[in-house]
Amino acid sequence: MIFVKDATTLKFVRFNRAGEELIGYSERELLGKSDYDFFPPHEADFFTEKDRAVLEQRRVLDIPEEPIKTKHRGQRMLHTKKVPILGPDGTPQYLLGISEDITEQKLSKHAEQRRALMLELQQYALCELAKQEAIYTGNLTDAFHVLTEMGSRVLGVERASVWLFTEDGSALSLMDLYEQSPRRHSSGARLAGDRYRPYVQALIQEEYAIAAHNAWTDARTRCLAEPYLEALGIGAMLDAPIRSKGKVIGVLCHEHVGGPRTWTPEEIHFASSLTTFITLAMEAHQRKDSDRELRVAKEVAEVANRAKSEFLASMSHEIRTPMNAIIGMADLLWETQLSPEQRKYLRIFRRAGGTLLNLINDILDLSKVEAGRLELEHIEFDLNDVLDKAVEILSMRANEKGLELACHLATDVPCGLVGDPTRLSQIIINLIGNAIKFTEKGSVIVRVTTDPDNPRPGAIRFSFADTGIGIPREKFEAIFDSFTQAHASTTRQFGGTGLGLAISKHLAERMGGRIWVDSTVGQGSTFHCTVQLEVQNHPIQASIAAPLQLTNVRTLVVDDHPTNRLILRETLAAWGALVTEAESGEDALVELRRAVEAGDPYQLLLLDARMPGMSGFDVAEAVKASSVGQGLTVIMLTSDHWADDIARTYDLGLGGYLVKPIRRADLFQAISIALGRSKGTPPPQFFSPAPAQEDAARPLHILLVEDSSDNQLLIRSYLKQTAHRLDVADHGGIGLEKVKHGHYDVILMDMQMPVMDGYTATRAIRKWERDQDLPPTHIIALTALALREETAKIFEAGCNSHLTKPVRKQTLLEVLRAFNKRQEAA
Amino acid sequence: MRHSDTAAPQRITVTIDRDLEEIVPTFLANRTRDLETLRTSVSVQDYETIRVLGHRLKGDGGGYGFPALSEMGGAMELAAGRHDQPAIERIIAQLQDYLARVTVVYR
Repeated sequence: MIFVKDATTLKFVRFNRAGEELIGYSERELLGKSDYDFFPPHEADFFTEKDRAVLEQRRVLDIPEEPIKTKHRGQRMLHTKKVPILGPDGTPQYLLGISEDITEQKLSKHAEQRRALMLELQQYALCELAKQEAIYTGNLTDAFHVLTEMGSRVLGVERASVWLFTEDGSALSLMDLYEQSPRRHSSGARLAGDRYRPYVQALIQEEYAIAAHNAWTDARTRCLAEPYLEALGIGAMLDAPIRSKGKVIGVLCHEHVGGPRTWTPEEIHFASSLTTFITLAMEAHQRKDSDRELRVAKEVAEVANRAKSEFLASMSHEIRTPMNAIIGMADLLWETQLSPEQRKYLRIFRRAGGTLLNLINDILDLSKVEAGRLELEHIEFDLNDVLDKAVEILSMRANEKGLELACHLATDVPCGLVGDPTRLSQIIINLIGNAIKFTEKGSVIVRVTTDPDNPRPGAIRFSFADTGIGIPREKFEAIFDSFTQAHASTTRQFGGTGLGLAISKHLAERMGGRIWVDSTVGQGSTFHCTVQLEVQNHPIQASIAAPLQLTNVRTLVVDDHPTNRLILRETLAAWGALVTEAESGEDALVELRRAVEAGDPYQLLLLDARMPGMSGFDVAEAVKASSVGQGLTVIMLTSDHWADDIARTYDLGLGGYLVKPIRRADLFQAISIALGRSKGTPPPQFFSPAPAQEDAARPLHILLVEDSSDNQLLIRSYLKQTAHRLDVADHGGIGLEKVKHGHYDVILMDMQMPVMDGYTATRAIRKWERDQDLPPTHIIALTALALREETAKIFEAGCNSHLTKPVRKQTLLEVLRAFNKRQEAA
Repeated sequence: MRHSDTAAPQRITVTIDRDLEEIVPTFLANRTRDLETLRTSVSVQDYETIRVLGHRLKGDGGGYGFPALSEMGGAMELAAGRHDQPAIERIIAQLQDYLARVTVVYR
């Protein structure tokens, strides 16, 4: 707009077209008139004031903003420059005005500023909400309050509310309503969904928010007009759907009371953002719910398990009392006259009773541990004793399966310990027993070391390595659970309650340790167990270390098994012996000869009876036949077929024998007796077992199956002064019948007999035992000759060991004594 | 239980554990009775009975302290197995001679 005013009158003298359009008056109307003719007085004053200033100062004036009331377009904003036009005399004649309509510019600038402010406010609001604990802890009441207040304030609406669909989705239920003027929260109203179907439909389809600028006309919200909008005077609504897991679960409403209102995109976006916080709060709430449910369920389960354990513990104890009576009575009944049929039933009865009692004992143990009722003892003990006892108990089982069982205790492990030796034995016996159970051939090696992962004194690791069937990796954990075996299909084959490992695990944990397993299927397993015990302040001197002086006794240890050599070397060296090792009979002979030639012969030879190539007996015979045997005491190490080996040891006149696994006490005893014997001096008193005590050992019930009445008489006379009871059968057939009707600890079986020979009888006895589900009776074969093929045949038939006739009294008694000792241990 | 057959040319002295004093005379008496059975068996060529008697003698002799009897029993068992009548008769004669000359000393 360009206009020209007279400098003196300030009346318009020119007005351009743009000016006409802007102001709304034609040039004709304007010319000769002043501002006061068209504009309100305060505007006209303002214009006039500026005009005077320009003219007086005779310079250009810039007026950045100048409101002006137009005829048709309302209030407009102008940016005006006023320029004085001077006459030839230098005085102002006219005033030139150039105005630009900046109304639109000004408005959009204002909107921009407002939008920036709104965004800032919204961001602030969202940050504030993000700090609200109620949202993250899932405290819904507080969270809803915070959100409705925030929505109402930021969006500047009277009412803000949270509605959630009822469970069946048929209605919306008001969770919280905030009304700004009374600053009041309320809740509880309900809107039936079917009455407001278009609204609900729109809600479900809407991505951000239903922005109803005019709630009365908007197709989505029209249905709410009566009575809702009307009653509350609502003119515009901004309703954002609340979603959880992709489903619309409710709505966050912002209601503008009064006329229509235009919702900006930012406001719509903000409303939608707010619902995110509702979703967060609700999910936190659900999580809290399920967490609580989980915790409650866990507590319930724990209480139930404890109760179960308590129950089992007391029940098992209660069951044990009558069980003992049942088993005791069965034992008494066993001693009475019974028909074969009755005896058979009773046998099964006793066996089942024993199994049941074992199971009850295991359950009792496990439930005691689980119920936390197991009290561990805190007493001083010697680790050597615990290991020796455990190994002794299991050696018979290992020998029966022909397994090498060895136990090596590292020299740096303290043996004077404080803890619960009974429970420690239980773990060790369980783990060795387990290893033997799942191993068909090879070895079970126990290694005891200080715990490499725990430097504290008294931290000990036990490892039990077998060469058995192994355990698949995915079962490494499960096998320690109650009633679980790695090979479910083989439970019947291997038997057992499956509680042993679970009990051992609990016990180890109670002793501050743990149990785990390494294994390769088909190659074997190694179970590891650690315990934390206390070391005695004043460790007891190893009770057996002192009396035997082997100082500088030249000793050769011959065994093909390195662990056995290691055990023997360490044990003997600890007693002062000078130990050399050989891993075969051939090497041993070479070494013995070399030592003799060097003028420093060996004094003690420990020989493994069973070695590949040259056996221990072969070596012993070679030694006897040559000069290297001079002054040499030989001790034979035997394992399976020990009875036969003992007899051969006697026959060869060797110093003594030792049944593997090697235990320090036995080794000590055997060596002292052997050395005493070969020196012609009686063995130390400490180790010479009093005969009375020997005879007090459990009397055995022995069956002799022998056709020769002379030999019957001979054996009878051998046993006359012992407590053993002897039954005689003239041939295998009678022997079999006697076995079926009575119980025998040992059967002495002649192999060559008329009617039914020993091979047939032994096979028949073994078959019958299997059919009756009975443990095999120990059968010792008696043969007149011991050819290698015949020996093989004897074991094939099912005999446990073998004695060559003539059987001498001392040999027989020694074999029975050894049997008794092992039997008792088991 | 050590034996020696050099005490006197006509005598075979055997030392046996005193524990067996009660049963050794019966054993020796039974062996004398065996001689009858053996002779009868030879005459009727009942080699099985001879084999069984030989086997028992082999098994029992040593146990009672008469290793020489065990040796004879073993030889007799083998001879019976191959139906070697002359050998059997020779061993029966040996057995008879031994039983006639043996003297037992208990210690």
